[in-house]
Amino acid sequence: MNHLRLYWLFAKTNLKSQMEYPLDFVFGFFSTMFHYAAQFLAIWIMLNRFHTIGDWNFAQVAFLYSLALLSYGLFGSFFAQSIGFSELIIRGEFDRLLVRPWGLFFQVISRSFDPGFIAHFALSIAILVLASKLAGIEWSITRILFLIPVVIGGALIQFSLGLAAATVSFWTLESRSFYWLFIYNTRELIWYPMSIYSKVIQILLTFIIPFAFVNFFPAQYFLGKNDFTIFHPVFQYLTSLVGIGMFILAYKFWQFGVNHYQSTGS
Amino acid sequence: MRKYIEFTKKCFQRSLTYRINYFTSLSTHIVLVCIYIAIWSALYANKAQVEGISLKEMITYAVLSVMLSKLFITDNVREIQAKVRSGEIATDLMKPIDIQLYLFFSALGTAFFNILMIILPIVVISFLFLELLPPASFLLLLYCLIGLGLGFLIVVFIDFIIGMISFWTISTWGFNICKSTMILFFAGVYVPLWFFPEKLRLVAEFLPFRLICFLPLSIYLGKTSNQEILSALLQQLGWVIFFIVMGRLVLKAVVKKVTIQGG
Repeated sequence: MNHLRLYWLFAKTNLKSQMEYPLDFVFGFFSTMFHYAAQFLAIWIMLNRFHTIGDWNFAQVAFLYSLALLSYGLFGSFFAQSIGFSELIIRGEFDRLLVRPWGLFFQVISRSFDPGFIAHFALSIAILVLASKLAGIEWSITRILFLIPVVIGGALIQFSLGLAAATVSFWTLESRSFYWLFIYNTRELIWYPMSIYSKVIQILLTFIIPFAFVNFFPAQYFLGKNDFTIFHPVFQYLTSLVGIGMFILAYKFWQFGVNHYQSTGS
Repeated sequence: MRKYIEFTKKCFQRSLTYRINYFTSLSTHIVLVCIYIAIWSALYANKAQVEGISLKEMITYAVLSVMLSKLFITDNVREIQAKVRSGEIATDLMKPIDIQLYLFFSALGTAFFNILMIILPIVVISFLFLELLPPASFLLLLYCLIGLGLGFLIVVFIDFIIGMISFWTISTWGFNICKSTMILFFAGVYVPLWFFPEKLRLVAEFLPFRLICFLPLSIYLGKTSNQEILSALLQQLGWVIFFIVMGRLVLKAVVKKVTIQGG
């Protein structure tokens, strides 16, 4: 219970600090919306001219995009900033966390609520509604109940990868996280159906960096598609399990990193 | 002039020291090139030509535009903002240098690094393994390069103006995202303007961004008439002058503001 109260306190502080410059926040909101809307518009332009990619039409690709953005928004709102703990390591501020009477992991997570990602939610839900309409998805209770663990699982997959990448900085003392430089920039991979890529990339996206579980596999459940290429159709149900599994692995790795932590002493 | 060339060298060398940054940037662009090739191949599946563009032309365009985006999506604004926030800009303003030129030559250093270490290696490898199309003619290659150079100038001087805005606003992060998005979208990095629907195409024609990347590359592929090339290069020149003058005006206002605050 105390944990929850403390989390709420941190979240409120973060909210306040961002709202201190309301104009900046509002402008940030609109520029984020603008950025993703432009990317989405580009996808529409492509499919407006070419009609299909693989055997996916615009409505289906839009659905893929909305799932990717929705889970990214969830990841961003609650976890993204926590990946920045590598920054604390470099500056030697990680020591401060060590002497506080709270779990380390909790401290890292609790600082990371970021209201700025509301823009991702707003846009992705708008696209989700649009795509469902175009693709004729009926939102029954079962489907809604299935969507929730899919989105959470997708967010967990992204968080776990980020956590693992940031944990490396316990050894490398590199502040620029591999995650933001590499994974963030290559998220574009999953805006399109994975079946258009070579088998090597498909295997990579399924087993190594399992982004295919964020949208490609579960989307087929909602869209009633059967485009599993070389993989088993059961994969469409596995997103939440993969998310939890990835998280456990990443958490173990993080603990291993913490045990190896040596202060930079600065 | 010599001192400015020193700034270029400095920035080139500084880029050399960020090794992890370099390797992630390199691999990111390799992945992006792969993504774009896969997308366009899938879109073109059993279509010979769309809007008069063949798959081969499109892949050449996609690889080159993705790589060139490394040149046009810059860190300049963030660097200016950091200088403004830390107050370093005050000493820069006191130095006997022109601050706009100084930032231009610094940006040039980073650009040279990106060209030599990231863009050229990937482009050369792509030519070897992907059968990209060569330029339509030597003369057109020359025009394309001039176009890209002028496009780079447009970007740098826009960056300067946005960077200067950080004297007034708390952060320029939002402006920077908007600018990058405008470039990626309207310069035709996401989708070339050939495929834009009529109305969007009209908007794009009106903005300077298509001149940055889309136009030089369509010159390269021989998709523009001589007259269009001439008009495009002149327009670029016009925009460059426009943004330099705008930058000067903003700088003037900034210097005034700094003086008011007592430095």
